[in-house]
Amino acid sequence: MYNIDAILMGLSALFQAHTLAFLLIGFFLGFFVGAIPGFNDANIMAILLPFTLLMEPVVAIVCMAAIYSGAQAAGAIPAILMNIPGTPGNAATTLEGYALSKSGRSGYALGLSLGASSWGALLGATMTFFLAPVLGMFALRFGPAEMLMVALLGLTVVSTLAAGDMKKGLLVVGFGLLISLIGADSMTAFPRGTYGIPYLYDGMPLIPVLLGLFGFSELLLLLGRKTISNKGDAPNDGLKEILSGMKESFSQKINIIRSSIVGFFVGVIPGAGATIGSFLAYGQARQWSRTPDRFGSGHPEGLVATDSANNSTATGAMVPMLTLGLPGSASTLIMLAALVLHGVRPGPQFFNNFQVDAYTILFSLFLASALIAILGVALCRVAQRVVFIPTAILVPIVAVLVFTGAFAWRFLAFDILLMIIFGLIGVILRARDYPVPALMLAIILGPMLEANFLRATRIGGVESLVAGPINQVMIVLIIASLAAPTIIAWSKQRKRRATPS
Amino acid sequence: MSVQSLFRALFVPGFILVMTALYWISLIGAPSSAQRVPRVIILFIVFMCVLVTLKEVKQLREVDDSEDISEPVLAAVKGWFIEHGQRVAFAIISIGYFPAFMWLGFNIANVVFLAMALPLAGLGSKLRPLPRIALSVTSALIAAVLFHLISLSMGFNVPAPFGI
Repeated sequence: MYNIDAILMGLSALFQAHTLAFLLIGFFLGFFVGAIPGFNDANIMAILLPFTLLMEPVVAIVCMAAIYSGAQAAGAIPAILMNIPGTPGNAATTLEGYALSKSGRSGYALGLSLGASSWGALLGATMTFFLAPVLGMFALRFGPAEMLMVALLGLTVVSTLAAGDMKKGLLVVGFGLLISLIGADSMTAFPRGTYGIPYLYDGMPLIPVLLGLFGFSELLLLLGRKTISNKGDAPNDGLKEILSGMKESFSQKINIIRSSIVGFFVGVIPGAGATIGSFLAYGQARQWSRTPDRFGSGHPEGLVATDSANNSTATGAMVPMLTLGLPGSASTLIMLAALVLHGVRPGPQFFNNFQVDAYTILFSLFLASALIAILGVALCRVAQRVVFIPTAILVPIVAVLVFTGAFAWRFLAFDILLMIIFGLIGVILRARDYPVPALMLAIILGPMLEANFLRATRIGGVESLVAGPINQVMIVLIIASLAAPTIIAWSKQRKRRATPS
Repeated sequence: MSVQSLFRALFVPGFILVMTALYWISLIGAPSSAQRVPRVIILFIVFMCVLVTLKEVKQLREVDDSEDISEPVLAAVKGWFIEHGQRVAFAIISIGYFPAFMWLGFNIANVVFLAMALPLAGLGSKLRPLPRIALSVTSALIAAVLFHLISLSMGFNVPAPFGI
């Protein structure tokens, strides 16, 4: 299965000067774009696609993979500093990262994120390297019923993360699912909830909604504050803080390994996405933590879990793309397009027919994971200053960035208005302690949920939803995640009654 | 339990119910396959709204508000606007950005928006009015130029003035 000659040739192909140069350029571009809210890696990859035709196939893919890795890691920066996820996969990063930032520990949070992202990418690359040739078959076992269960599991986990109130979380999840079903029905093309607005016919555009719920709402809430950070002036020991965070992340080996495995296997499932992976990892980190009560107020374990899973999911998503030709996201779709344009056809025979190219791509993922740690530190030192910029300047400037990011998704001015509307919804929800991440995840997963439900019930009837070992395990996990908060609250109450006052 | 606290507690479930009702109305005449999943979700939302409402009302009753004298509604609304006036104004000018973007184009809309948003957010708050306006307009122009350059380099098809 593992051809040593091909592995060595792949390694030497990576360490050619032009390959390394394009890897570095790709990483910088991805990091830069990922750190700006609303500008995502798929945009820059699409822009570069025609230029990649001038490159060799493997150089083109190495460049694209570096953009992808850089963007996933850098998306945590605005999530931590401004509560605005750089990519949908970083929505979970805001849960702990922003809380740390507000308490004046932005450098520490960035360091945690960088360390976790680097390790997550490295572990994901390792698992991809060893398991990709066989994992394609695992991904194929996920039919519509299994995909439905994955979506339901993600939604139940995120609703139980609602600050102390699962009912509010579930209400918001329901609302998000309804929003996600706005648009033309996939079977009959009947317009649902559009009220004649043609721009909603294709459904809710994710990036404007994300920017509104997280970005614009946060900007409105920042007004009236002097800076994002509560701690006043910028610290002189920014680098020390970042390195301290990295050191802390390296000490959480079990958390990183566990979260990376969760993220990787979620990434292997086509279409599951980094968002589910990072929320599932967050949920399991909280369950395993010795201090679960501290989650939500800047717990390092939570941030390490989300960011290692996010980056591991990104590398895991390469598996179905390379071994089955199934892209799971816009970014992997563009990578697939680049490969096909160069005459390299991904699929079950990819690792047989294009061995050297395959290993060059896999080794580039290792190198990208190292770049996250090395270059990320320098870039984050600059980015960290953002939390100390007066909001009088920051809020209007970022608002224009957010408007532009919303427009840039479909080049529709309507999306700016939509973004603002969701921003106002986000403010209202946050003011009343309703979890905005749950709403976002429901909007992302709703179409997948409906499509797979209809497909599964058409193929095998309603009973197919509970048939099969994968579904049964998922159902148990869903019930456990719904019951867990109640059981934990009940056992705490018992302990309080048992403890003499 | 004051009217204001009840309103605050039930605003979100009420809002979600209204939106759900609007969605349900839009489903009138839809084929049954198009209504299948939304119906389930609508039922789920109604059920959760009831649960959340009951919990919120229960929590309000448990709070000892014997000293809480209901403020007159107008005074409460006025107080709210005083507290959140800056945010309301920012939201209004942000909504205004949308037509400005379409009619005036990307660059002019940015200048106009930033010229209003920067002083609203507090830029030059310690200056006198004229220097403050000058600072805001200059900052807006510089920022608009930078955004124009970013949009050019990223290849965005941002609208030019008056659609030209």
